[in-house]
Amino acid sequence: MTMPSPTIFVIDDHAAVRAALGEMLSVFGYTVETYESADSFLEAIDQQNSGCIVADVKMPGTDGIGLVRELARRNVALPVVLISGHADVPMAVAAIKSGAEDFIEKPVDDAQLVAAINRALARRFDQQDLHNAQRALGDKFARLTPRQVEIFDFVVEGFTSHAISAKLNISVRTVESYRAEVMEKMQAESVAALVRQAIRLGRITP
Amino acid sequence: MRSSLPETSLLSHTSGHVSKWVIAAMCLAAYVILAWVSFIHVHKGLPVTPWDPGLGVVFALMVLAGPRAGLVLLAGVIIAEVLVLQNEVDWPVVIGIGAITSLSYTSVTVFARRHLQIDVGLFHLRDVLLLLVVGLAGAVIDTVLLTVFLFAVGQLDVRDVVQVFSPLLIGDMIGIAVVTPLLLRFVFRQRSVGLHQLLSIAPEGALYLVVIGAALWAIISSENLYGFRLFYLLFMPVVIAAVRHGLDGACFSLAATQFGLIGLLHLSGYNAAEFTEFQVLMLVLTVTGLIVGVVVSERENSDRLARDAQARLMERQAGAAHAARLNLVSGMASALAHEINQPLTAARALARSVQHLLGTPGADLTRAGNNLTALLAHIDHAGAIVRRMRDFIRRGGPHVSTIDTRKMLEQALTLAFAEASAKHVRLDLDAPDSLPVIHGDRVQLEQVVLNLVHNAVEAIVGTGRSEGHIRVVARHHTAPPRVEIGVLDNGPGVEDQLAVRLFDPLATSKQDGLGLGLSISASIVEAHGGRVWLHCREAGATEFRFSVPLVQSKVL
Repeated sequence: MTMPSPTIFVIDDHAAVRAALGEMLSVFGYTVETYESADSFLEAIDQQNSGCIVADVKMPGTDGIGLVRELARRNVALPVVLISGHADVPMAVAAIKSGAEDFIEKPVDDAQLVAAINRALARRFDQQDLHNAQRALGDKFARLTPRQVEIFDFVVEGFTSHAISAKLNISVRTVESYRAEVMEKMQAESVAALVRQAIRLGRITP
Repeated sequence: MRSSLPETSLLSHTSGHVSKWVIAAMCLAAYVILAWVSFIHVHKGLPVTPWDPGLGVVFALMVLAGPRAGLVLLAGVIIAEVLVLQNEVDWPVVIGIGAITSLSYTSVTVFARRHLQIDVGLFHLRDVLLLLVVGLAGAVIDTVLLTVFLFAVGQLDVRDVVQVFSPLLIGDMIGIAVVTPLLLRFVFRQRSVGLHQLLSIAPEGALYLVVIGAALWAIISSENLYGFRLFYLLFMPVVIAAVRHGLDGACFSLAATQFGLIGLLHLSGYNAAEFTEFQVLMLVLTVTGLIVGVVVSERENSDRLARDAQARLMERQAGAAHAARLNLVSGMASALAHEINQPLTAARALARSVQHLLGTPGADLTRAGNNLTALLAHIDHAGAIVRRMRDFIRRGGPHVSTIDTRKMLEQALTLAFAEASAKHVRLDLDAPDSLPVIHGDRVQLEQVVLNLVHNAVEAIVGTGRSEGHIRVVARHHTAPPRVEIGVLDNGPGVEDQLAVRLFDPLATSKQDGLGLGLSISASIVEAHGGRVWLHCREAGATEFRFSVPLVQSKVL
């Protein structure tokens, strides 16, 4: 599945800092967008954006920590790296507690900044992969017929074909046939794989 | 001002390591030599020369050193009687004369030192008059006692009394009046006058000597005592010297006149009676010269003291202003550090971008060059803030110069902009290019502007509102010609309670404020001849304003 290329959103009310950080990240090969305030950024984005936000903590209007909270409220999955000119411990704690990805003091060490951005992006990609896999699994499960779901549940709970045939009052052969269809539809090469899928689907608790 | 030094220390300072015995011996020698030099007439065992400079020397020692100097006078009189006058008078009479003279003068000087607190620096008219009165009293007592004593021992008869009495009295008086102030001033001035200073006034001194000499010659060479009528000529150099150089000038010209007069009278063989008449005139001249001199000195001294006090006041004010600047900057320190951090952050990022660009094959040199240009601008910006801060907290005396008003405001606002930006307050300067120059201490005036802006920033931040806005407005006004500089803010205004005592020291609305800022600002502005006031105390339109007059009677 295709995604929009990740963008770094630089948000700082200081034009000089905004432009310079943007220029540096752009030279480093990132796609960069700059905003002079959290509010103007929040107006501009939608759910489709992917990438990472680099934002100053102290800004007029919504500040950096407010931005992190607002993104969480809107369910926008963009990691935020906060930067600050007068960092202190309470501010750093507040930043991390709010859910910011990282917290870096000005003058910003570019290596630290790039590492934080990449870490945030990588984690976001992993989550994306996981999310995608989960969705694919859900799709596959949704294609099962009610009878097949019934068989799926018995199989992953450890019932043998004989036991299932006895419970459902159908022939063992029929059970075997359903079971083969389920394995094929779920693309599970073994019962163990099917059990893992069931756990991920929440059909059973490990 | 009374001389703070006790007389003895003044004397010991003069002599350096020379002991008081050497001083006593020198005075004794001076007494005897002067008695020998000035000896002209004698009448029955008494030197009736109406001029006793040796007494003036020893009298100065008595005033300085106290009763012990009486022994010097006793020894001096006896030695002079024996050696110089080579009198046929009996020993007991000689010793009697010495004892009476010594006791008379010792008693009056002790009285003057103990009860009249005479200041030996002769800074005041009072001290000079006291010295003359005490000398007169000593001379009267001495003369009366001597006359009675000699009469009693049969040395004098009634006819002699008049002939001896007045020359003796006048001679003692004029010796004291001419020589004693000269010596006392010499002892005092020895500490403070350098050779350079002496050389610089030497030509003028020589001119006085020439004028005095010419006047004396005109007086002495006139026939038939016509010279008495020319005596007024001598007032001119003495009074001019006194007016120009105070008591020291008077002492110098009087001594020159007296010695010149004695010398010429001596050469031209005047008799004792004429001599005495000249000395009476001379005494009038001396008293006049001394009084003019000390009055001039007194005025000069009080002028100098006033100037010193003014200078000390300015020094203290500069110190207080400096302390207030340190306090002001330290209150802004966190904001300034933050504001220096911004250009550093930008500069660092741009430097890394340039490094990265140059490390890439087929580097985009134009882009790298543009980034370097921007980088330099950021470093200059940070540098400017640091430089302004350093200028601002550097200690320095008051420095008056001609100031470009707009430039002064721009410089003051470098720091103010930094603080306002860190606190997210908008700050605008509204100053036309046509503003006239003002005269004053640039750093101190910047301090006033910065202090007002700082207060406005704090007031706005205190309310927590986000749309903070400060305007600094400078305008040229006429009638009277002045520049008015206003600092307006949209903060919470000034409370009634605080408004009335706003410019008092220690009045503050801030938790951590010293409350010195506005009172120091007020004293700075007042020192520039202007004033600072709360122009509007409404919330949202608060304005502090100060004026600096363009025509100043006195700057700082």
